[in-house]
Amino acid sequence: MGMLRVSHSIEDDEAQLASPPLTPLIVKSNTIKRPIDEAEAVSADADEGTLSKRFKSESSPEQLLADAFSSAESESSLHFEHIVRLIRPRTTKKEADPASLLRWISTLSRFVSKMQASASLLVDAILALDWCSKDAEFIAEYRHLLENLVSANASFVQPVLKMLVSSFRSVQVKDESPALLSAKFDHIHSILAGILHLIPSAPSLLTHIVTDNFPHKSESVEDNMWYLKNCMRIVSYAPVLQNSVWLLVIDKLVQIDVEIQTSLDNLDEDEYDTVLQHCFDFDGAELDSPDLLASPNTFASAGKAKEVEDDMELSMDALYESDNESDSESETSESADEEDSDDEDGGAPALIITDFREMAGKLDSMLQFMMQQVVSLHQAGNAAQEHEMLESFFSMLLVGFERTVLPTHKCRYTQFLYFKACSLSPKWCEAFLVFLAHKSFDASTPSIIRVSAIAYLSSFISRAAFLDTGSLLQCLRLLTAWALQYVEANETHKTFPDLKKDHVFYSVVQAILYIFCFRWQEIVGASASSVSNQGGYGQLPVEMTGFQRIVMSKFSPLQICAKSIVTEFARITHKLDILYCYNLMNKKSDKESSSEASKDTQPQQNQQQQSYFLTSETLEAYFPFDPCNLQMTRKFIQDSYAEWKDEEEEAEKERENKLLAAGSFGSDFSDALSTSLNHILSFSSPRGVY
Amino acid sequence: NMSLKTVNVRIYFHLPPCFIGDFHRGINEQLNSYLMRYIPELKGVPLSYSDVKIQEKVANVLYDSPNLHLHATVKFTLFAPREGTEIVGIVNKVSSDHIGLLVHGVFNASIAADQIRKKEFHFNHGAKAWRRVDEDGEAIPGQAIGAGSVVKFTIVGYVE
Repeated sequence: MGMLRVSHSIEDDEAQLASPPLTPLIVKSNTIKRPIDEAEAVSADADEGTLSKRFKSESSPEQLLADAFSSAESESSLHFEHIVRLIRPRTTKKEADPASLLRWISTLSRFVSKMQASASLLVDAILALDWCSKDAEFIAEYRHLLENLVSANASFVQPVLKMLVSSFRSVQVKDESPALLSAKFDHIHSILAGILHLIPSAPSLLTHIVTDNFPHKSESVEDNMWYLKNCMRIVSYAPVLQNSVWLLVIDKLVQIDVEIQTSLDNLDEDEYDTVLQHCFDFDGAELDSPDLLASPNTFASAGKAKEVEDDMELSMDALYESDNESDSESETSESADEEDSDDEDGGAPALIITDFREMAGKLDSMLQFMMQQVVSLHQAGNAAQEHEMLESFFSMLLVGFERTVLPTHKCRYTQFLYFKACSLSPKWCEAFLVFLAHKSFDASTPSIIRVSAIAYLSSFISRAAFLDTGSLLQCLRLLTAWALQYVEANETHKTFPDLKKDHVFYSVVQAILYIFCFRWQEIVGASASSVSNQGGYGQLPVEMTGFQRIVMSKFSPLQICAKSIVTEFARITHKLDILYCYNLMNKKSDKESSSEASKDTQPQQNQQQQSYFLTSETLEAYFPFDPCNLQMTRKFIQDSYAEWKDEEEEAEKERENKLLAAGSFGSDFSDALSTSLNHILSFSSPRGVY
Repeated sequence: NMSLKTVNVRIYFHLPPCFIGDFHRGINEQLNSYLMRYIPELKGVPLSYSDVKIQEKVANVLYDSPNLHLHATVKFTLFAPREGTEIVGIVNKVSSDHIGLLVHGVFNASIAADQIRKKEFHFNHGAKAWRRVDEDGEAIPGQAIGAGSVVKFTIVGYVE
């Protein structure tokens, strides 16, 4: 058949050519080794039959390759198969010895221009080699080969990039020492950088590949952290990838965040308590308040976290302290975990606790790493006066916020990245506040998103110790003015509070209450110092004019907003003699309300709507910037974060000092902020305010 | 010769319903995805586009598909080098087997060793460059193709 004919001609060729002296290409390689190589190769092929007979064992790599490339289309694949088997004998399941491999690699470099799509088998074999763990000379030759390969034929760029990025993952991060790991990653990065340098269109291919190779959220913390670090390093030499990589990372952070929350929600009550106690150093006893919603931190208990147990702190810190120590210490801390959890009653809670600890720890280290990146980027940008770059970087972060963080229900920790970023720069803080305000008051946004944005706004303003009084008052002014507009436009037809219809309005009022509860001292202090008010306490500031009208309106916001917040607000305003809210807070007795409601609504509305009023529906209290339970990130933001202080516990002076010390942004900032916020109000017309 | 050309194209777009009221944004998004990639229908690589004109007053919604269908004309600037034309590139990589170049700083080209005039150029391992030689095979000093050299070459084919 055809085969016989072909083999015949090859043998002829070989007979004609004087068999070339077996001069090795690399001086070092031993001629003694060659016969053994060939013997191995031949024995490996013995099962394959035809091929071993066809290809004489005396051929050097050069010859084999030359033959392969010069042969006709139909046979070339057989040639390549043979070569591939020499490089990677199937029977032994591992590669040929390093010296001959080295020779192969150098020879291949000389044939790059001939490698077209038909040689894909060969290229795949080259890419499948485990080059990372070989010596420096091999890696240099390999790098040479890869660079020539992509330069000669750009269609191989994608497989090469895929191989390089996936080799970040193939390294076993647990088994190796950090120094060895960094060395390996260094090699990969240098080859990657070299290729990106040669092929300007390559980075656009990388986005997809980097996304695909990202570890799953269930994989170990070392896997995730090392990959994250490598990604950031890629961004440093391929800046065009910055946006996509950051958005990818924010996405991943939110995924782990939500995983922790949903797992918490799925626990039984006692498991829940134990997990909170041991993973999140939270005092379980405080969870029994009636207003408790699903999130572990409610308003009343915010900030009253238990003191951290020493051994737990050590174990968490040990896990995630520094790059170099992380690997060696992770083992000790994992055993410490198991020891701790042995104290638990039963196997199941122990496992759950270790799981949570791992998840929380993973999120903690990744979040803290990203915060460090933001800080260093900001520092570098400031030093180089690259304001445009900083602006566009933060806009990109905001895109990530809008797309991923804002719409995610019960996202607990990722938003602290934004908190930290805003604390660094007044421009960024302004951009964030303006963005949230826009989202909140834009009638075309879905109301769920608006409510979420309002929650972020209120929580942020309350917790940001770096936000000075002027800006605080500006934001309050905006919120109050909007609420007032809403009341004036919509009150006349109101018969009973309708949470569903006026959800946004109630969220805004709740936001005002929340901010007031946190920062009333500044707010009232500001009004006290203003010229018009002589008597000190007793009046709301100018920015909150009309607030009385709001709480007394038919909307009855004090009945709908979350009870704990309203109680606190009432207490403070009563103490300061500003407002007396208690009669507004108590719902009318059921009989009274039902008869009243039925009189008004019977002719027009149906039973369904009446029931809304009778059931005591209150607004959900979701405050995204409630205290962060993750150890390392909490330390990172501590300076700029305002904890909830109970009146009886703290003296006024201490509080003031803390706020001043946090380095507030100053009057320029609040002026700029006020102009931006003014725009927002002017857009929403009184009539169309919903 | 820069191998650039402008074409006017009429494209039938199928936009997802989120672009109702905002066709241009949808069209721009789709056109952006075409940039800097070889588009076989255009037979070139679009570098930029302009003058998007929608040909209809309203977009059509057909049967049970939620997408919006509309025609629009676009003017593309393409990079479309033709086989046989000469073009200039800057060398970024040389080896004994090929010369790698960048055209316009973004497109990769490579000259296989077989295509290099062997009578005029010999590869020098030490200098990592293709040295120009005279009739006797002696290297002409100061004339070599290495990284950074500007070379004019003829296009033989493309790899997509």
